[in-house]
Amino acid sequence: MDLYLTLPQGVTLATFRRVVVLALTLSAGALVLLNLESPLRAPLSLLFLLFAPGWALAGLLRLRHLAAELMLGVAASISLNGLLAMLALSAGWWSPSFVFAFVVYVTLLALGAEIVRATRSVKQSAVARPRRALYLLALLLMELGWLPILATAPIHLPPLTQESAVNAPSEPTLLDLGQILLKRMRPQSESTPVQETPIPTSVAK
Amino acid sequence: MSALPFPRTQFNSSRPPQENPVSVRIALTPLLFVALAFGAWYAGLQQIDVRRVTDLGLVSVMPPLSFIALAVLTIHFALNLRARPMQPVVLFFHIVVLIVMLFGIAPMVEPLPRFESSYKHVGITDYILRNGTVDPTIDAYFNWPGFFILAAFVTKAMGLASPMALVPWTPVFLNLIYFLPLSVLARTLTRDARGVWLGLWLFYIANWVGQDYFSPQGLSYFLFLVVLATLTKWFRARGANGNNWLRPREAIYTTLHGWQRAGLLAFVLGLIIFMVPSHQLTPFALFAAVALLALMQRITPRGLPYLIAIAILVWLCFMAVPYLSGHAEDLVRYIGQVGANVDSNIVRRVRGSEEHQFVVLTRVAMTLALTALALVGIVRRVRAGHWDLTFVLLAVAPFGLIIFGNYGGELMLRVYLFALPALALLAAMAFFPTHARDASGWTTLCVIAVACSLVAGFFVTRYGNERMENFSRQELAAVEFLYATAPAGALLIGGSFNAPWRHEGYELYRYGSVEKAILQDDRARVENFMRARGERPAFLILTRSQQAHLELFRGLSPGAWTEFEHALVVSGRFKLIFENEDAKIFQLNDPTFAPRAPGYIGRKE
Repeated sequence: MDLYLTLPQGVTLATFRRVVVLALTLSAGALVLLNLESPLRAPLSLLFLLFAPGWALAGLLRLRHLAAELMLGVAASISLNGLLAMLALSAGWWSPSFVFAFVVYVTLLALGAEIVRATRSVKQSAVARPRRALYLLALLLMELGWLPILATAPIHLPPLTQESAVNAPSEPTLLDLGQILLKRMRPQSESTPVQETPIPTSVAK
Repeated sequence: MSALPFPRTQFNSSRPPQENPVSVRIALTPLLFVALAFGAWYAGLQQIDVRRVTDLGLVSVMPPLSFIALAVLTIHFALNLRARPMQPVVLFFHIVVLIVMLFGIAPMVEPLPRFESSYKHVGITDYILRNGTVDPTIDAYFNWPGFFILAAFVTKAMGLASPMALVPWTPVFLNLIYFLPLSVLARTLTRDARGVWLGLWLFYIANWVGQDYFSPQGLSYFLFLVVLATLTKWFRARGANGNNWLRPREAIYTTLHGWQRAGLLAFVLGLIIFMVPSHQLTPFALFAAVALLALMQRITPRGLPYLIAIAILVWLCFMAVPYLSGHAEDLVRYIGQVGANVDSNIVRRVRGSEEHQFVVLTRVAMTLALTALALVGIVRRVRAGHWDLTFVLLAVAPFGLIIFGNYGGELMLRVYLFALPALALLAAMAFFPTHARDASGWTTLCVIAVACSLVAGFFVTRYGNERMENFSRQELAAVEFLYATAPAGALLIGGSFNAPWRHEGYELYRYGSVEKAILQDDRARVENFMRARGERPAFLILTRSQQAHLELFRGLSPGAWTEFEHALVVSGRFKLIFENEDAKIFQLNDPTFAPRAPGYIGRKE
């Protein structure tokens, strides 16, 4: 007899985790980063932030214990979100959508790493091999596809001076960040105002 | 019972089926019964009128139907502990429904979120949302900003304008996620599932402290539980290098590879690194617990206490010092105010109205009863051959927090909170000391009697201050009027600090209280207070919940508040600028008194 709620027959913990994490990541990621108006956005993004990143990471530990994985997953999600948000804020780039994109990226990375490890350690049958290869290819494409989204997610930089606050572009992206930081490092006297930075149109709005 | 102490979740569908699969036909009847109890409970709530709550708290307006439903749920739970085979789904469903009943009652019957502090925490989150920075010079909250930054991030990601929508149901949410570490922790105490489930049940019905609202404490308590559960489950010392009497008797070990342990430690460190900048007290509680466990050879990572101590010191030295150096006095005062939301120290001298004294005494009685049960549990376990030193240490460790002085008179409350998981689980051991023995009918009867009396007491202890802790729409309307009218930089004065305010423009206003003046019936003092900050326009707001606060806690005699209000109006020295049935707002009625310009930073947009 087990204290914990067990999964239905035939569903392995690993499959359950992968499906839930991937579904939450894709749905919440699309809703939040494309800034869609939907009644599902609030619950899905909350569930994603609460479960997905940490659970994907906890999956790497192979504890094979649902309650323990969920416990570590929720706690790690909370800490990861909190630490990334604090880091972004203290670096002066308070940008929830950027942090969110980063959390999505970490989640997919952890999920991919877990699947790669699992497939490497299992003796592959001739039937399963092509299916696994397809799986990995899809994941790889998703990881790569995510990079432009991450690069163009808006970042909010607090203005340096009062006047630049008026004209400053509201939300530059990671692509502009290098330029902006370079400009900030120059002495104030000859610095050109931040607002002159060209802003490419953002894919993620 | 499977051979492994921790039956593993099925990983491979080729394994033989579970020994005791939960049959749908068996499980459905008890689930329907629980749903029925919840329906009766919910029907009972419709009769509640929160405005008629007395000094006894929410219990004074709760209908008998709700109590009957709770008793039925408790009895049903106790009977299900006897079921063979045990049905985890059914027991889990009982606990979820219990959590909704105990902690969801407030959002179900009250129009607004409870607790003055939750409004303040919304205000701090709102500051971060508006400014994208933290300003450590505002107050001490901004020196431990982890929770608020996280809240701001989540609010924004959810597409909400303010975290206020999250506040009412936070206690239910937090108590639900506490279940995960608690169940793992409980499983390290005993292999007997009955003891585990009863321990969880006792935790919830004894968790009256009310720290599980929208607060840094509520969230970091979850992380605290996860760290302890991880350490006791996967890092338990095997006793090979320990003294004989220290060695764990009941061998519940899990075997892990080295890399898994390393990974788990990385998780634990991540949690600690987020906990340290999020709350002042919890890291110290964690340090006390982990240090004691390591010292007594209960857990293997002996270096962990040092790491926690270093993390705390680094944060204090590098992050919090700029604030501490200039504002040591403020910090002391701030810590003093933390206690404003709950009744302070459970053993402090009893003050306030007679009914309130009853509430405070019930709290003391419930705490003592649980402690006594835990002692009985320890004794029965020892007699059955198990010496649960780990859990005894976890129950004792929080007393190390005494270095904090009295934490605004709230220290004993926090000590109880941090000791509660161990106390509740040990108390369950009083009923089921060993899994070898079948429970007699008497045991079940005792469980029912204890659980029912604790549940009945819960509504007195947790919701005993409900008259001051819940706010009405009229009060919020008055506060909203204040924020719309008062220019930024204004001084907002309350009859006490207990009002639904500070959720807007956190840094834009100064706040004060004329509590003492009202207690001494000294109208002139109020006037002086409003005039003394000459350069700031001052507003005096008097609300129903402030009146309740002074009557409950400061012994203000009934009627004195209304008289005082009346005296203010009649004196002609004050101008009534807003009034509804729960709140009044005054300004000085003095045409010669014009606040000087510096106070007017300008109207808030």
